[in-house]
Amino acid sequence: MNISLVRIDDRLIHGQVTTAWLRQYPAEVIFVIGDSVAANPFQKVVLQTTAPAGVTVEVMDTATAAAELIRRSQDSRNVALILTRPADIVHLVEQGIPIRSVNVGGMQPHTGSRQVAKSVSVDQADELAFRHLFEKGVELEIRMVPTDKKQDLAKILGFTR
Amino acid sequence: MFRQALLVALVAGAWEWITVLPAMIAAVLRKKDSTFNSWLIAFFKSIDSAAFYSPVVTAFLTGLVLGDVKTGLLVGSTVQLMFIGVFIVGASIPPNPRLASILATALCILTGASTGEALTIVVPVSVLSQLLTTLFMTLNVFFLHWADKMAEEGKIVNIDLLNTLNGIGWQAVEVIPAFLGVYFGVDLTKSLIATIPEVVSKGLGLSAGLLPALGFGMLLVIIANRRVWPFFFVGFLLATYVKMNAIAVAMLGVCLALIYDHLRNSRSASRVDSALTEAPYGSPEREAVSSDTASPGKAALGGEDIAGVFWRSFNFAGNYNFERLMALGMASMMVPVLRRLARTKEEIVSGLKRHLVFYNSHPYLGAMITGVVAAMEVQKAQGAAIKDEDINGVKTAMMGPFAGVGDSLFWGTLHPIYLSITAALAAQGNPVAPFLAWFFIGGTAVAGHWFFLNYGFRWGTDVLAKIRESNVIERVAGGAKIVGILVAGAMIATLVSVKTTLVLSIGGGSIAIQPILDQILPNLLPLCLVFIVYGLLKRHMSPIVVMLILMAIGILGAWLGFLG
Repeated sequence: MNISLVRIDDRLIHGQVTTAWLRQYPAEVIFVIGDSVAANPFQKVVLQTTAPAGVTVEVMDTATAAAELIRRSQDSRNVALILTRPADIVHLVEQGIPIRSVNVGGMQPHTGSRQVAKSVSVDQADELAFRHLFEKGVELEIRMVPTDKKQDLAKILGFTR
Repeated sequence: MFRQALLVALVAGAWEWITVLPAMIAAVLRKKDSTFNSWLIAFFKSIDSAAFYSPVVTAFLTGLVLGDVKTGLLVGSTVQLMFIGVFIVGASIPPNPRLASILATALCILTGASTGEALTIVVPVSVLSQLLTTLFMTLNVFFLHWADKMAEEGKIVNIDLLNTLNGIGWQAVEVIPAFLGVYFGVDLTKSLIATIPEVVSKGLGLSAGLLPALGFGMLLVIIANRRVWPFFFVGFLLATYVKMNAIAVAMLGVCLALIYDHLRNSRSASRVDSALTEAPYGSPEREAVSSDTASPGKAALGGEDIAGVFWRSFNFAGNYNFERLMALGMASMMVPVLRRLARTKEEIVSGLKRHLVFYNSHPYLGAMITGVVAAMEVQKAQGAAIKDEDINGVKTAMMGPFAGVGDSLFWGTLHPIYLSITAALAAQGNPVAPFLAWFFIGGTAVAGHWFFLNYGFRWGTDVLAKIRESNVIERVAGGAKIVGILVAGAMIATLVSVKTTLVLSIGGGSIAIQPILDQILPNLLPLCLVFIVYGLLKRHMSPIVVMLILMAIGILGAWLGFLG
C-alpha cells in the first residue's frame, strides 16, 4: 500500500482529517493504529460507523499494522495512518515500513507533558521517540490542516544532527 | 462619529449583552431552568449563528443601522463568497470575515469608498480577527484553571456563570475593534482613499468579480470527488444556458439527490448493516453497540433540565482554549444534569471534575454526545455500574469521529449551499437574502442542537446501532454533496465574473477575444479561473495568498487593460 499520510492525532479521525487532510492527501483506506484503541470495541464501532464516504477504516494495534502493511505491500490503494503516539511510529519504522515524514496534528496535554505548540504537548517518552525518528531522517512537522505553515518539531525540541 | 461607531459595535455583537446575556444569567442565578427561557435564548442564538457564519447578515445589519442597506448587501455578498469553504475545524482557526464585513460596509457607507476599495481591508481585518481569536483562546486557559478550582470546591453556580460570561464576553473581540475601526478609521480611510490611483481602484473593482473564485475553489476541495463531478457541470450548464437561479438549482439538486439515493439504495439495500451482522453474537463488537448503558428511562431528568442543557449547548465553545478545548463548555452543559442527579456535594465535585477534561466536537452532532453522556449520568445515578472512565471513554470515542462527520456535512456542505444562495440574492440587492440566511443557518443551528441532544439522550449508547442500521450518515452526506456541488457549478457561472478586453489584430482587421470565447462556452473564463484556484489550493497554497493573487490579477488587468 502506498502510504499517503502519517499523522499523530489523539482525537484520531475528526474534522481536520475529513475536511482537509483526506482532500489533499487522498486515501481509500485509513489505518487507525494504537494498542489502546484496538482494545476498545466501542471506539472501533464508532470509527467504522462514521467512516467518510468511500473510505474504509481499519482499527488495529501496532504489531498488526506493521504486519498488514507488509502483507499488503502490493495493494495499489493509498492508506493514511493515524496514530496517537510517536513510539508506535518508531515501531513501524523498525519493522521496515517506509515512513519519511510525520505530521503532528494534536497531542493533548497530560501529567508529565509540556506544551510545545498550540495543540501539541509531549512527555519524555514522546520526546525520545521523536528523537529516534529524527535520527532516522524522518521529517517531523506540526500542522493542524495542510494549508498551515509547517512548524519543524525537531527544531522546537532542539534536535541537532 | 461616536453614534455610528456605537451602532456598528452593537451589530458586531454587543446586542447580545443586552438580550441573550440577561436571559442566561437569570437561568444561572435562579439555579433553575425553564423551557420558555431556554427557547428564548435559542431564538436569540439563532440570530447569533446567522451573524457568525454569514457576512451577508452582518453587512446587512451594518447597512441598516447606517442607513444604506444596498451597500451592505453588496459588500456582504462579495465577502461571503470569498470565504465560502473557510471554517473552524478542531482548534485550527482560519481568518474570519465577520468583523471584516462589518468594517468594510461601514467604511464604504461613511467614506463613500467603492465596494472594490473597501475590499482591501478584508484581508488584513480577517487576519486580525484570526489573531484576536487565537489570543482569546490563549487567555481562556486562565479561566479554565479558575474553573478547576471552583470544581474542587463544588461551586456549580460559579462554573455555570463563568462559562456563560466567557462565551458572551468573547463578542468583545469584535465589538471593540468594530467601535475603534469606525471611530478612528473613517477619517483615516478618507485620506487613504484619496491617494489610491484610479487604475488601482478600478482593478480592485474588477477583483471583486474574481474573488468569489476563491470561495468556490475551497468548496470544491472539500466536496468534489469522482462521483459528484458530473453534477458540478450540470449546475454550471443550467445556469449558463438556462439562466436558472440559485434557489431553483438548489431545489433541482434536492430532487436529483433523492433520485440518486433511491437508485443506489434499491440496488444495494442489503449491504447496509453488514458490518454489524458480521460480528457474531456475544462478540465485543456486538456488546459494544448494545451495552446495558443504553436507553435510560426519562424519569430522572425533567423536560426543563434538558432545555437547560439545550441553551447551554449554544455556549459550549464559550471557553474554547488550546489546553482542553471545550472542557468547561461540557462541564457547564452538565450543570442541569448534575444539579438534578447529585445527592451529595461530593457527587457534584466529582461530576464537575469528570467533565472538565479535554473535549472537542461539532456543535450540532456533538449535542448527540452530550445527550448520550446525560443518559449515562442518569444510569450512573440510578446505580448502574458505570465508572467515571466509562463516561469519558464514550465521550472520547465519539467526539472526534462525529466532529469529522459534522464538520464535513454542516460546515463543508450545507453551509456553503446556504451561503451561495443568499450571496447570489444579496448580489442582486435583494433584502430577503439576510432573512433567508437567518432562516437556513439559525434554523439548522437550533434544530441541530435540539434534535441531536434529544436523540442522544433518548437512545444512549444505542445511537450507534441506530445510525448503523439506517446508514444515514453516508446517505445524507452523499445527498448533500450532490446539492452542494450542483449549486457551486451554477453559482460559478452567475457570480464569478471575468471578461477579457483583449483584441487581436490580424492583418488590417482586429478580433475581440471575448465574443469568440462566448461562442465556444459562455462563462469559460470564470470556469477556468475556479479550476486554477482549485489547483493552487490542492497544492496547499494558503487561501490568504490566493486572495492576494486574485486582487493583484484584478489590478494588473486594469493597468495593462486585459480585463474589463
